[in-house]
Amino acid sequence: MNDTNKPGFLFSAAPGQRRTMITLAQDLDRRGFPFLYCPHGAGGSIEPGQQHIARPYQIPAPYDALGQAFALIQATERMTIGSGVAVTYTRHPTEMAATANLIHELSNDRFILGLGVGHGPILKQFGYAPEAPIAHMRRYVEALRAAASDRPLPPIVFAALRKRMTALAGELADGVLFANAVRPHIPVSLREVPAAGQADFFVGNFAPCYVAEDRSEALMAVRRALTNYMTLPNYQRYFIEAGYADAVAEGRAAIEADSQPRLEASISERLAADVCVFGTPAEIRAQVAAFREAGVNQVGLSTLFHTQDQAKAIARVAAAFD
Amino acid sequence: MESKPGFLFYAVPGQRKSMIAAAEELDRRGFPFIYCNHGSARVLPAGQDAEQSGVVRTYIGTAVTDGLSHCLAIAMRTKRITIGTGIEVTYTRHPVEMLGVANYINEVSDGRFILGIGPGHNEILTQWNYPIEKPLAHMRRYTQELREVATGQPIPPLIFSVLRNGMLRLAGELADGAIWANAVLSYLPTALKEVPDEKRDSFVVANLAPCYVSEDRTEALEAVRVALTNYLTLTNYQRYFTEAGYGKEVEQAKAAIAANDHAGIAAAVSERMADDICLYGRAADVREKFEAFQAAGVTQMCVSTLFHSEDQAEAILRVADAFD
Repeated sequence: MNDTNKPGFLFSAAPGQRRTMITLAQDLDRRGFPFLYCPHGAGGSIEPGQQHIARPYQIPAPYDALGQAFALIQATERMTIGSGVAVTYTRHPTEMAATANLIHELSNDRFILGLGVGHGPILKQFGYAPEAPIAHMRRYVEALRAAASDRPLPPIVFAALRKRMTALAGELADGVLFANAVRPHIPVSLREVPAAGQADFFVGNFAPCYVAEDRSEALMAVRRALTNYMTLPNYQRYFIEAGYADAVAEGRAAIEADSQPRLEASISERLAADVCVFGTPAEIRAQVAAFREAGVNQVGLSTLFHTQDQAKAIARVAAAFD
Repeated sequence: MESKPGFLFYAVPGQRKSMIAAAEELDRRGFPFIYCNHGSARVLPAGQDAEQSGVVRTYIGTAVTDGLSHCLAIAMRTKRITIGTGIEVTYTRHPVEMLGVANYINEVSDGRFILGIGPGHNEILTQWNYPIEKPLAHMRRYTQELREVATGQPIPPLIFSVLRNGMLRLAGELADGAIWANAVLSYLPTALKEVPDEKRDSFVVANLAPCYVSEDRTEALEAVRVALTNYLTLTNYQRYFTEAGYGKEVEQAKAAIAANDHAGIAAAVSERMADDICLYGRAADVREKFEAFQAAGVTQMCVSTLFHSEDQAEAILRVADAFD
């Protein structure tokens, strides 16, 4: 039986760590953690004291969200596993439908297909000409459902940041998946979705998480994590929508100056506390509960930015919930 | 030489669990390979004509599946058997995406994975609105991009789907092997001259041949004839069969296609042509042909039962019994 007070995790599939991660997933499954989402790629970690902005998201890390999700489904028995998210541009909708149908059939209804448009800078690096995101997602999902024909598909959730994509998820999908959602802004976003609040509509969010008795150490760690996102135009626009225009303006100035310390400083403690889960075990449990109060029914934690081994990082956070 | 063949696996919707169970059984019984394909032709039962079916070009409207995910499922449930894609179509996945999943399967299978890739069939790609490149130029570009994005990550053995000599030469230059579907036995020694001498010893030469086991040779012949009609409707196969010496059969098939005469396509497949491509008849006949393909240079000889109308797992295990 899954424990509804426990969070899920964002689970990356770093080359060389795949078997270790499968073993960890089996352990989390036994301990009642409710879900894992597998990302398509991962930004690099920012080293303490780093002076220049790495723009790590522009370095392609070719992970496979769907492959790892499928492997974890086969290795576990209870928990829900999703792609968090699979990028639409790199797979034809017919191919995506085939994969989703296959995994769904073998998952005993434990699979969620998370889809998203990815990030413009990466797509351009791969030679894609990104379309307007809303029109693209509408076209892609319609093609996906048409390709599936009468073959069943799993629940589909959309990666979303701002209100329009959230509203589109409410119209076309079975849920919405945020990463780095601003907690006070979540109820505002969810007003776009009539189905939000209903038990069968997924509202997921992944928050950077760092457990430490020393709050300053934890704050510095999550600030570094958020700098990954502050370099991306779609996140800048989202943080502005959520009330952090000043922080974004300062972040853009830091990017212009190629100053990593200044970019970290642009993340105020208030912004970090609104987005991240950090501090002592008791504090992070309270913050997870606060996200749930804000309307998130799949509260997920991300340790992707930790410099240490991912399995160890996740195990350390999980220990705070036993 | 292998004493047993490999199998082409298709993840038929609704039959995935039974196919994985079949893979586990083949693994236990010592069968060496499973290749999972990307899609499957809809096969018309013998005797059904085009008017009844509404289609002649059976690949159009084909139900695609996901060969890579099927490979991953089998890799997770087996211990020894080599698993490959036979093949994965390049157009539908960006090289980064292809590498990501291939690298993942290879790691969790402890190196038992072979990545078979190919440009697919124009008829399907056109239906999916892809701008089709020239096959050789496309495969060269795609493979170069695949290797570039790997950036130090291991790439599993890479094999190209081939039919004619140009693609085989390219496989000899850029890949670790080649995989045919429906190779012409008598033409294989000629074709394999395209593989560079320095690669001959390690080069994977795989072939997927339609197979039907029956004491009644006439029944078996009719079954494999129907299997070959799928391919005779495709222009790349028409060119290959012509190159391999079956121009007369191809011309007859083209006339049948023009007349929308499905039975006429099957009738165009001469017994000599079926003998040169397929494994059919009694178990002893099938084993003998299996050995003949290996003697002709095939290192991974696999059989296909996709055209059987019955349950795929049952069809595969019935053929497997001929090799125990």
